[in-house]
Amino acid sequence: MMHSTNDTANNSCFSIPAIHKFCDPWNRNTSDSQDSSLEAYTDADLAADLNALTFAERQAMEADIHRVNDVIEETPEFVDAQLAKMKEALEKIYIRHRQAWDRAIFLRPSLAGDRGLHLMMLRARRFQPNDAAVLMVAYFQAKRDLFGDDLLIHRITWNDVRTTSLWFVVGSRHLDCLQDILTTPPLYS
Amino acid sequence: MLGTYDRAGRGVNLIRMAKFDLSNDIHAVARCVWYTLTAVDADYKMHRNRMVSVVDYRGEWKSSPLQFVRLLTAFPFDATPVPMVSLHTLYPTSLKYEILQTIRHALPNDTRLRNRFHRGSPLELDYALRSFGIDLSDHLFQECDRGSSENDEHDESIEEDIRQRQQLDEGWRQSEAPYCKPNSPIAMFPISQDIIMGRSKTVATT
Repeated sequence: MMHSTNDTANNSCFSIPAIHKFCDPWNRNTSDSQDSSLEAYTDADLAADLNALTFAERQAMEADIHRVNDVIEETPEFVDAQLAKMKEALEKIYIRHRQAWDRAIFLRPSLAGDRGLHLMMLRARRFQPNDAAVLMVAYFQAKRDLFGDDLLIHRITWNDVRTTSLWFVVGSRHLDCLQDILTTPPLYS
Repeated sequence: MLGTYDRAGRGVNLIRMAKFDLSNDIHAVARCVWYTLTAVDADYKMHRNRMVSVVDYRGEWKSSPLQFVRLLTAFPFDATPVPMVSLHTLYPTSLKYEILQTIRHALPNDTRLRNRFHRGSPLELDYALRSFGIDLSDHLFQECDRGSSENDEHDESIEEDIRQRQQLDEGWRQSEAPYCKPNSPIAMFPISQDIIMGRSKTVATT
């Protein structure tokens, strides 16, 4: 009974989550002493988090940080092949996840064939077509959340930033939806 | 977003917390951050090499750390088309460092692992950043809380950046202008007078 009372107190909206919830994804660090307060994130925590990654993930991250990763040669054949794969991947994403993207294409059909836009997403994800497709969907969802339907298919300008008075609420339905997109594997409708 | 690149050709985004006012409207700040991160869509070099962010925590803050944490946790960093490959945070040598360390917990997992912390005098910070190929010597030695003249100078550089962006925006607006007329022969996108009729649905633009 006592245990459940403590759990309730820890899960209230006023409590700060315990550290190991953030930095120890495998819950290896179960010391009770860390549950009581939020402590500084030390180098040891960073090392533990890095060790939780696979070797390939860790290598990729370090390569990114120190810019020693391979440069991808963008030959026309390679780019065309990846663009085609990305468009296929976009089609296969769940419909409920790509509502903003579908809406954008509905309002401006030329976006579906916009090579520059697709290439921008591919470059951002190092030409991984599935990842790029998810980024495309997430990009339009975030743009819709921040600026609304009216600006979904337009370039955001400085005037829009100044004058738009839309909402941006933490934990809102749209942001939950976006989080869903970013965390769910893009397989598939 | 600075106009220069680091040694590896990556774009450099410098955020000065002393200049970051979240006290009024956090939504407007979120939109500004989005605009800053996505307005580089014509920069091929930045798409290819991506971007490095440097957050400077030195100086007096205009808003509370909790507001900053709120922005960090809510803003969709993963949805920006120019991803941040690494995040460098600069701390002063003070007790505030220990408190600010807790902000790392609020970062998304991927961002937290790409985060590198540097602490010390401006010269030490400069050396630390240079070891990652980032040269910010012009900006690091501008103390945030020094005299008003330097702050004014910094504001002028921001105003100049905004003016340049507005020129780009104006160019884009002119390229879209032919399609915004009601009698345009090509309907590229709906305008305010249009009624859109889709598959089993009717949507009117406002």
